[in-house]
Amino acid sequence: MIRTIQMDSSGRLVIPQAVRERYDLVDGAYSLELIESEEGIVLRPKLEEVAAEAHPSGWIVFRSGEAEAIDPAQAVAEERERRTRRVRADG
Amino acid sequence: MDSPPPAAAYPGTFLCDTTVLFAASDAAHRRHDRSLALVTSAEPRRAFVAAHSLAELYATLSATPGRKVRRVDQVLQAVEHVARSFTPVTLDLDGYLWVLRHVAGAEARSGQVYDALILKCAERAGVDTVFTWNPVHVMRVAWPGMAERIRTP
Repeated sequence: MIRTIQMDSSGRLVIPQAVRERYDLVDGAYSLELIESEEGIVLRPKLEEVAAEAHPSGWIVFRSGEAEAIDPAQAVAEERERRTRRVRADG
Repeated sequence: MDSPPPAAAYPGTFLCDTTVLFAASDAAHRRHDRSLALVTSAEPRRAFVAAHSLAELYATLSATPGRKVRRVDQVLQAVEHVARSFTPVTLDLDGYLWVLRHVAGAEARSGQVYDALILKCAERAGVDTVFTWNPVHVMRVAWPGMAERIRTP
């Protein structure tokens, strides 16, 4: 999808809310990677890869941060909410 | 609902919902140790999972909140291990429609329908216990015969 957005005299851009929601760029400030290519400028979220290891049982365990940093019930609820938000944004 | 014995020693048949699978899959989660102890004791003849939870676990693990990303090949590996360790339970169309009518009747909204789908799979599997880290929300959509089977690991 091609959108036209405006840049102000200081170089600031506003990414439309529907696009921010689609890329989970909501509820906070984020770092973006700015890539200069022959086709133009590409912006993409800067991501940090999470380490993973296999438990002796075979279960895959990720280590995405400090112990007890994430509430699993809240994380699942937020993913369900993101899914609903994406459907609304695409509709 | 947080009653002994510890879930890791649970002798009966059980179903783990997505919150338990997710908590077991990342050391950063609250309740990780208890969840991992439970899921690593799972064997397909007595441990069940809603097929919907396999998709939901993939979606949640592969999401990128906080700008951290888990590799999708490792996420897939994690989900496939769940599918082998537990017996996945599916619903037919009548099962889905029953759940939708039930949540509408309970005036439940939005993502609560997924808790009800998972609970319906637990009923279909005939498990003794449904383990979740979100008992309040799951109880909200539970029905007689299932509500008393819900507990935390």
